[in-house]
Amino acid sequence: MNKLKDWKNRLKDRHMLSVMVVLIAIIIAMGVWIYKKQVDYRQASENQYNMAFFELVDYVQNVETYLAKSLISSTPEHGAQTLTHVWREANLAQVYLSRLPIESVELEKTAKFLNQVSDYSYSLSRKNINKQKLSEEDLNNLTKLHEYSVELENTLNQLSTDMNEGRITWGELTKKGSVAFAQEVSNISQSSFSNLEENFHEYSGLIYDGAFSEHMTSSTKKGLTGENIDEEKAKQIATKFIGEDKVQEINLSSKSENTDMITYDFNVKVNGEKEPNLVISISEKGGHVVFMNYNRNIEAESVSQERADEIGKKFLEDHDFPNMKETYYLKQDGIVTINYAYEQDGVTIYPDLIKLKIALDNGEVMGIETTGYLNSHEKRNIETVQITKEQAKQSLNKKLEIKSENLAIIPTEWKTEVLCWEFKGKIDDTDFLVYINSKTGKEEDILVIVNTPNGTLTH
Amino acid sequence: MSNYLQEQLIGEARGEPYEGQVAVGAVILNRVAHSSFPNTIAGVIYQSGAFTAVADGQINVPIDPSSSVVKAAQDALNGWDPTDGAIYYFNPATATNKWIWSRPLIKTIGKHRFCK
Repeated sequence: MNKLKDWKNRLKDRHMLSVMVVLIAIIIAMGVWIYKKQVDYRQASENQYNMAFFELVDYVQNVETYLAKSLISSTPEHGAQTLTHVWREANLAQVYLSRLPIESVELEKTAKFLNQVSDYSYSLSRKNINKQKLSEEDLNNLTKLHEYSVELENTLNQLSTDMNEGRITWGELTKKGSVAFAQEVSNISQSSFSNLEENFHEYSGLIYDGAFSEHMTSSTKKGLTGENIDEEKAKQIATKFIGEDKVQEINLSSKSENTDMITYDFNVKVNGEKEPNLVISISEKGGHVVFMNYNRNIEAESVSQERADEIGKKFLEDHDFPNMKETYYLKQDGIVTINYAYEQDGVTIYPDLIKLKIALDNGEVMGIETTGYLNSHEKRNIETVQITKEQAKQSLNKKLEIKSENLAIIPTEWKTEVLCWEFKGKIDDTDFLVYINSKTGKEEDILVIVNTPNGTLTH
Repeated sequence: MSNYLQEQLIGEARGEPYEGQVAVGAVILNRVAHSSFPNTIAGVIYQSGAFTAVADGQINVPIDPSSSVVKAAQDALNGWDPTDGAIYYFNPATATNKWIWSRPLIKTIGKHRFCK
């Protein structure tokens, strides 16, 4: 009781009162300062969004203009130039589109459109560079793409008017905190941006879904041969592949769906481990091993690269992948990942790719990845070479110090394959791989080999 | 390049089984290759609304070099894709977006559903 009185008295003391006043003043000042800071931040991010948006408007406008020009280009040279512009502008438009604070799903079709315009114009420009004229179909596609770009441009112009006149501001939206923000934005996108998306309803998947886009899923799985198997059979194949003595426990984790390579996936507990940390996928069709990955701690390295190569090769032979040749390796944290390509009649067939993960502590094969092989492997009819090795060499840079020469089949951007002379060589201190078409003598590709201490191409 | 990926895996796939971490990494790389998404890892990761770890700042948590996400990111970059080409994933327990349920499911790994 006394204490309370004491405290009351002290508060009455003028000295104490002034202390309180100062404290309150400080708190108010801090509040103002924080508020100002926040306004600054909001302004900064609003500026960013505005910039991204107006950049997008500009680039889409350029896409439209150059697409229009590409329709009337009469020479391949000029066409190539115009299409290269389309490619560049569409690419930049996509970059700025992705910076807008709008859920990516809301703008998916717009993004896809820009990306496809970019990819398609790139592929046509390559055609032009090879002195080919655009086909009727190419021109029809370009006309359609141009029509869509006009619609996109109009919608964006309307949006930018709304923004200029203050009907839409990013800042209004960001003020409300992130949850409300997301909702507001989807409201906005329903009213304004949905027009933008609606224009693409018809477009989606209509024209071009070729070479560059969605290339991950090749529709024909040439190497996926054989009859369908059931879960029990898949389990047997998996157990045998890992090694029966190594498997302590194996359980189906899922059977995939909605894909053109349905797999049975198993979780495996390896002997001596506490929990399952190996997974393996077996294809329903044919019972092929699609994928295996084992994760464990790696002890000190004791296996050399040469030894790992041998282990890998032996492993592939033992598991019905004969004639595989190593092409590349990468060492990371005691594990080496080795790429293998199929070899037929002395020709390296790069699309038929298998990767192995080998532990460098005891040489155990810890992973395999066979998607490339399953997508493309078949017996090739290797055509007769029309350009001799000597002729092909003529077209090489004279400074190239050739170290090895070989025939190889490489994949092209158009999902086809082409037989080439492969020259591995050196200019100054940089290693190159040069591919010369064995039929036309055209330079198909040049690869620079980045020599890191951890990875290199092997021959 | 792999740094972004590691950061992203920390935020999005911490507490998931190893394979779930590789799978999240693979989805990001599948998006880079896919026509509907930006063409770089950073572009994909920082795309608005794409990943919660970016929105809540978890992506900036420092990484322990011995963390399993470091290895998981490497596996994903080396081409190991447990999702068979998935470009979406979500946790059915916490997903608020109804739209995401309309994506065709490929498979479930850990807590996440991986979709086309």
